[in-house]
Amino acid sequence: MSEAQIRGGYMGKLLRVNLSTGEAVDEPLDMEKAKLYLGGSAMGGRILLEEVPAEVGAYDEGNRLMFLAGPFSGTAVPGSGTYTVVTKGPLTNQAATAQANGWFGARIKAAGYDGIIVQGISPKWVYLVINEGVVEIRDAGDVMGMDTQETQAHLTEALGLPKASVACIGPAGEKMVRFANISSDYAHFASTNGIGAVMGSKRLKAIVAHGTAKVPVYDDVRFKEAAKAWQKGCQETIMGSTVSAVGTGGFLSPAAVTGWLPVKNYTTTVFDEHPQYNGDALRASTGSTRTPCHACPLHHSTRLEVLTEPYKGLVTDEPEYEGLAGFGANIGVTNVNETLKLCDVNDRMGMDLKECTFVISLVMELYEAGVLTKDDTDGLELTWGNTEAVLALLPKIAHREGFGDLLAEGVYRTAQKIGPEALKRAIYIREGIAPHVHDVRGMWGYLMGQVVSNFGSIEGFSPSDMLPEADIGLETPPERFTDPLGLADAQSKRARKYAFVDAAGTCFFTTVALPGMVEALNALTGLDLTDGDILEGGWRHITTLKLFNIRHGFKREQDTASPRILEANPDGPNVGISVAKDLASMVERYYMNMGWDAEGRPTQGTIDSLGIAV
Amino acid sequence: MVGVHVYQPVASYLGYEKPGGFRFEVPVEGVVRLADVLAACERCDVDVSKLISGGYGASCMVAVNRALSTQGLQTEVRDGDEVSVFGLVSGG
Repeated sequence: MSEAQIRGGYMGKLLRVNLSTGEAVDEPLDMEKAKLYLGGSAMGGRILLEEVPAEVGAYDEGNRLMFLAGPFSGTAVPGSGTYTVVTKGPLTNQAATAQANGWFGARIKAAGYDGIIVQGISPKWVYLVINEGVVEIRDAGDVMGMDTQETQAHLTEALGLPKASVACIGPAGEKMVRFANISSDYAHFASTNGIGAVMGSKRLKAIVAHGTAKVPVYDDVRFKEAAKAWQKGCQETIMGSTVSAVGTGGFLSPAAVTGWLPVKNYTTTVFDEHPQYNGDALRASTGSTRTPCHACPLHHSTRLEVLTEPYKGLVTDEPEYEGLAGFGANIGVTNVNETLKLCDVNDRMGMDLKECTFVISLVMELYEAGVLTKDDTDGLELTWGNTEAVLALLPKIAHREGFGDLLAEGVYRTAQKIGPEALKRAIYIREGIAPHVHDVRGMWGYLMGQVVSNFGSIEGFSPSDMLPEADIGLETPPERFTDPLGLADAQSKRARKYAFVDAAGTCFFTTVALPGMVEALNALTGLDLTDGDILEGGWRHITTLKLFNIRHGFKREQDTASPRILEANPDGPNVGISVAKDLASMVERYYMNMGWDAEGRPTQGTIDSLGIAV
Repeated sequence: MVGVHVYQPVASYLGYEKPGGFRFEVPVEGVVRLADVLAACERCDVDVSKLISGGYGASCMVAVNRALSTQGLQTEVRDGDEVSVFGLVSGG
């Protein structure tokens, strides 16, 4: 660990807002803590561990809801508009960390802060304005009931701050749908583990951030060189070049061909319509305008206009791969315009699409099997591909109306309430949360990364089981189905690297090899960190969240997947293959690599070596 | 014959811009490396040999009969195989 002092990269203070009392105070950033945890989800995990005891529930006054930038946020490195929301999430009742890109992270810094800590519960609905370091808590009466897009447009116009960023909840967050998310910069969503429901529980509709403050840089010339090299390098990686050219929608045909695409709640892997959904065809068949994130040359975010029926004239943000898969193949919809409409409505309601698609696909499968009937579904005919029925269902979920109120609890709790026929079909992990929108039966490393996750989503969001990453010793990826322990070893390396990306305030699409990112961090901060320090920091980050989760009820048996995920693939290139007999040994190998015992508890030696004061 | 489908954005890297990429067939004898198939592909409309010259092409991902390979362009193929060449097969 570096002995040097931090001399750049931070604004030097956090904003703490107590909504119960209406107080907002500046707190100096603890620079020793910043050296250990950098920022983002790592800093948030540390604060959770210190401030949220076991008896505090996700919706309690004592829970914290943090919006945290990182040292890179607001600087010239690519993807540096990123921020992370950290809280105790209501789906797992353990840690939740969710990143969103765009501009909001840069705006937090420009407004004068490294992060915002919200606690307490407001007696009435409010929104927060942070403008050039001046903080106001305002009545939210005029934006209540607005969707995520309306809220952002209304607030920036009403405040006369067109260049402000707004992070807000939609109707689902207001109604504390257990998988409500937070929308910012229109097209970006911090989604995992019901963070929007926590925001709703605090009666906080939105945060507006605006300012012109500059991030201090330790060595300006050296940092500009490092940022320039990173800007160039991220366009040349296979990840950067792909998402730039075809968006993450460009992952859809590869997923369909290789059996990774979730189709009809994992009942098949066949989706012949994938060519019209893939990013290249999607952009060619619509009017598209790039809407780049802060300081990012990839420009992968894109605004689309639908040019053909149905839904001709719809203007919406291009869904990521997971939206196209979730509101396409996974619910049996085969017309891409219909999928665009469904994604648009879901995003406006402010719901995490992972949880939303898998709870809808679950009840569709149950309807098709006769377990549910129209008597259960408020008259909706929930057959595969019935777009009109899903369009009617989405607002019912968001507003917790009728059948929608049941689904608003998420996949696992909905299945528990329906009964055994649902539990055996439900797609969930860790006894409470949906996985990312893939058929993870064909991607074991990626599955294990989610199963062991202390983040609520994936342990250090790494791009692929299949991507070589020489900077962390992965010259050749392990074989997918014959080397499960190799996959666990690879994931424990990737987790450390991508945990750093989460902490530093940049985007995983722009990730380059460690030496380039570490050089930029050192030039920015004045530290003299090594690649090894960075990977150790990622390990500290993950282990800190694990300690929080243990305090909040984590048990070894949670780190597994639902019965449907453990079944063999029914068809396609991975037919007959199941992770069931290997998953437990993969999880235990991961624990061992992390210095945790067989029950997933960090050993005292690990805690001491990482300098985690508990 | 080995069928090779080059998806976007790899196809664009080779100068073929249309959505969906392109597919071609190449006769092979015995077991051969995919890179050798591409190097010998003189009759193709698109110069696919550019893929084996390093850089972006060397990073692309390959599936044979829909099963992903960890060997990239060094993957062995044989008569009757259907090969897919992708930019990135990823979560996200």
